[in-house]
This record gives sequence, C-alpha cells and structure tokens, in this order.
Amino acid sequence: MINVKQEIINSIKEITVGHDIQEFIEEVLLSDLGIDSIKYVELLVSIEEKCDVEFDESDLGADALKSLGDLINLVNKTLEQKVS
Amino acid sequence: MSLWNELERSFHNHSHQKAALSPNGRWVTYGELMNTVNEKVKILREIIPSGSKVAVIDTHPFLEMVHIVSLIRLNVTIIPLATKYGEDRCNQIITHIKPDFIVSSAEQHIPSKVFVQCIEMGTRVTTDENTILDLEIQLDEESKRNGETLPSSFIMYTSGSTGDPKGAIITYQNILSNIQDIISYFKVTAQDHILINRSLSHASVLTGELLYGLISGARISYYTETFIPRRLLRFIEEKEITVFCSTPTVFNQIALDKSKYQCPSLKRVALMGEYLHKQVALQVRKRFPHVEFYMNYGQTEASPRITYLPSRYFTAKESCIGIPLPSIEIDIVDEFGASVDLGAKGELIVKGPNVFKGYWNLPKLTVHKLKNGWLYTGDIVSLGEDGYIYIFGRRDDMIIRAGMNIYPKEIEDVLLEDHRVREVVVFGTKEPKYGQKINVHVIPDEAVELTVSNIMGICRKELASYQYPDEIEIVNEIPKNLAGKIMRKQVVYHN
Repeated sequence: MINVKQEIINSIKEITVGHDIQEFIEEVLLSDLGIDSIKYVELLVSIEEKCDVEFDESDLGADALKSLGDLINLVNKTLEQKVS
Repeated sequence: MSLWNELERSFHNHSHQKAALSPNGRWVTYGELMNTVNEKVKILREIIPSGSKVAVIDTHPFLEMVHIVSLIRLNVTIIPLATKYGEDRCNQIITHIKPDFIVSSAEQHIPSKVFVQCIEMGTRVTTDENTILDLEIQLDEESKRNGETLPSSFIMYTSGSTGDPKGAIITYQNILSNIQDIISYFKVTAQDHILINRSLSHASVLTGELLYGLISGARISYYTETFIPRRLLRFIEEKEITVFCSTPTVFNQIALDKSKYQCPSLKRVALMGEYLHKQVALQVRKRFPHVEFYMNYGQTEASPRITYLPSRYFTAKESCIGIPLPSIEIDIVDEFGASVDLGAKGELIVKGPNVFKGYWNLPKLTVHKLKNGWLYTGDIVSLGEDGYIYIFGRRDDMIIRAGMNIYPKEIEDVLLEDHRVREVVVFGTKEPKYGQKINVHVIPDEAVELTVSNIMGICRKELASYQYPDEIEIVNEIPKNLAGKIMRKQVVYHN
C-alpha cells in the first residue's frame, strides 16, 4: 500500500526547491509552493508515475486541484476506481 | 494594402464562414464579426481620436480580439495587456506608457488595481456600456514636448534588462509584412482551424496566429482553461484543430502525456520562443508522426518572425534556426559590428520591413538595439556550410525559460532588497524540459540565518511565477573578475 501523501510530497520536492517539511499541510496551495503552470503539469505526470495511476481528464480541471489535499483526494479516488 | 484592408477583405470574402468561438460557446461568422466591429468602431470613433495610445484588457481573448480589430480600424496605437502575468506587471506598463484610453467590455473586467492605476494616470476607461470617466485627455510630457505622434502601431511589452518592462513599437505595416513572409512557408487557409492558447499580448500570437488566422479566413478557437495536456489534447481532437503554435516546453509536455489521443486532424505545428533541444524534437515527432513541425525564430522587435526551419529538417538539424524569411536580410557581426568570416560565430543582425521603430520612451535602449536600420538581436549564431543558421546562446545574460524572457537582474534586485542577502548571482543553464532553467546562488549575511526555503519565500512574494528559480544554492563565494564585477556563468544552449 503506497503512502499517497508522501509520494505527492516527494514529487513536489523533486520539481521545486526550498520547502520546509512543516509547509506540507493538506490545505497548502500548490501556487504557494512555487508551482507555476509548467511545473503543475510536471507534478501531475510525476504523481501518475509514482502512484501508478492515470487520471481521468474530467477530474483534471485546475480549478478543482488547487491544494495538496485536492491532489491526495484525486489520487485516492483514482486508486479506488482502479480497484473496482 | 493596409492591415485593415486585408482584414476587411477577408471578413467580406468569408462572411458566411465561422470565424471564432465566443465565450458562450457559439460560433461567430466572419460576417457577424464584421458587424460587431463596425458597431464598436462607430461608438469608439466618437471617443478616441486617431493617434491615441489605447490599452486593451479583458477576461476572454475573443473579447480582446474584437477590441483589437476595432482599434486597428481606428488607426490608433494599441497596447495589449495580459492579467496572466499579474496586476503589478500591468501597472508597470500603464505607468510607463500612460495610455490615453483603456478599452474593455465591462468595468468589472478590469482588475481593480489596474483600474485605480488608470485613474491615477489620467487614462480614460471605455467599456461597451459607456465611457466611465470623462476626464480630459492628458497627453504625456514626452508627446507634448516633441509634438510626436506615433504611426499606427502596437506597443508590445517584454521584460527589460533593468527589471522594468520595455515597449517595442511595431507598426501595422511591420506586422502585415511579417504575415506576408509567414505565408511563404506556413500555409493557413479558410479550411484550417487554429487553436490559440497563449496570450494575445505576445507578438508571436498577435501576428502569427490571430491576425494571420483572420486574414486567412480560418476558424479560431481559444483554449482559456489552465493548461493540462490531457484536456488540451481532447480539445484538439474533439474540435478537429488543424494548426497549433506553441513553445517547445508546452508541446513537449503535450507529447509526454500518457493518454491515447492522437489528434488525427492536426496538420501543422509551429514551435518558437525558446531553444529546441534535440530530444524534445524527437519526442514530439514520435508522438505525432503525421504532423508537419516547424521551428521558428524571432523576437518581438521583429514583429516577430525572423527565420524558420523547414519541416523536413525538424529533427535532423540540431540547434538550427533555419533560413531568413523572404523579405529579411541578415548579417553576422563581431563585437565591433564587422561581418565575421563565413562559418564564424557572431551576433545575428537583421534588416527588413518587419523591424520595429524603437522602444517607447527609451531612446538609449533603442540606439543600442537599432543601428542604421539593423536590428541587433543579441543572439550568437553562425552560418553553417549548409547555408542554415545555427544558434549558440545570448550575447547578454538573458535567460529564456519556457518561452519567457527573464533578465537575471530582475531576480537579483528583489533578493538584494532583503537584508539577509549579502550577494547574489542568477544565471541560466541548459534544461531540455524548459529550454533553460533559472539558477540562484546566494551568499547570506553572516549575522543571520538564511535557508533555501527563505530565499524561495522572497521570490514567491515578490516575483511572477515564471521568474521563480528552478535551483537555489547557498554558497560561500561568487566568482568576480579583477574589477570586482560578478562573473555570471556562461549561458549556453548546447556545447
């Protein structure tokens, strides 16, 4: 069983610089982590690889994916659909 | 023929064909677009004298398109603004250019800080409903002094080396000549469907996508959602897009998407705005083998296209920017302005009907960039034995990341304002994912503690997101020359 939150944090750390661990609360906005539109796409690709999922494009509206918590929920939802 | 004549001819010839997708998802025909523009022109003509400087801002590129085409009819100087890069950036531009008017479809479509700045600058706000502020037109000091009126033109703002934006004056004729050159190698017809997903405030989009598309009678769809490759691919496939222009960074991200979309309708893709790494060219070709790919090179000051690489060489000629467009003359010169020997490296300079008139209110910078009608591009190139131009890097220290120009000083000045930073140097290095990446080296003040996280915090607070560093290092020393000047690492695209 993968630790979804940790995998996402690892992805964020790989593509951005300068984060303290206490920044990674679920409410933190991706934009506040210094993720611009280019890195946002990189992050989604990285999470898909690390968590071995493929997001449905209808779930990928950026307006719905603003925080770390939004990403965790998306991965969990996609994993559940994969199992079922 | 003028730019307006060309647009009018196309609107008339294609009046029953679809022109552009409106914000509410309805196709507007060229005939309807013509009527909308005519109505708008009738109202604006009463308010805006020809020769005025008019800023344009709106919430949707379709609305911006209607404003821009109407203003071309009025022969005014047009300054397209983009909220995408922040309200502060818009305000820097407004402070610099002091527009006589700002045009938007509604007052609430103008960000509040920008609205306030316009009032302070004496800029009249004009919307579809009414002219909100009936202030006297205040010509700025320079115009009064010189009695200068601008030719019918656009002023396109880009990053300046001092951190302040600079506005390149490109005339309608500059743009029209560039479109006529583009037609010679990149065909767009009334059967094409163009996807625009970048801001109209970029010369590349204005000339090579919007105005070229309208003159050709093509259909134009705007993609205004946040960029997510999988959703964009679906849009391309569902709408049967045939032509798309983008940066290597963005198109590479599209090509790397895991979905199955193959976009069979897509015929021609032009990439531009940054260095194209070979692995990126191979990747995009592999993903879309049926598409003709063109690499373009240009800069805003050239309205903007200068050279193109024919599609058949897209993956074959690495670091090649191709051959000049038909009406453009080129030379490659040394630091004294003398032509270099065949095959030697030097600065690319260009001459032609597309070369800009200068920067707004920055005479010193204009003299530096424009000498005897030659535009000094600042790019170091050589002419290969095959007759094609190869690019090596910049003469100055400008970083080109994901199609955006970034001057190190913009970032260094922000960091030096923080008392915890003693010295800083910012430089670009090779990065296939973005063309180049932004590196920051900092020496902290000895008396305080400063972490990488603190440095990123300053950047996030003070800079636009496209200027955020990709790498930050705390260092003990920053190399300097004998005169004590910081030596930036050589910016190279390839070795």
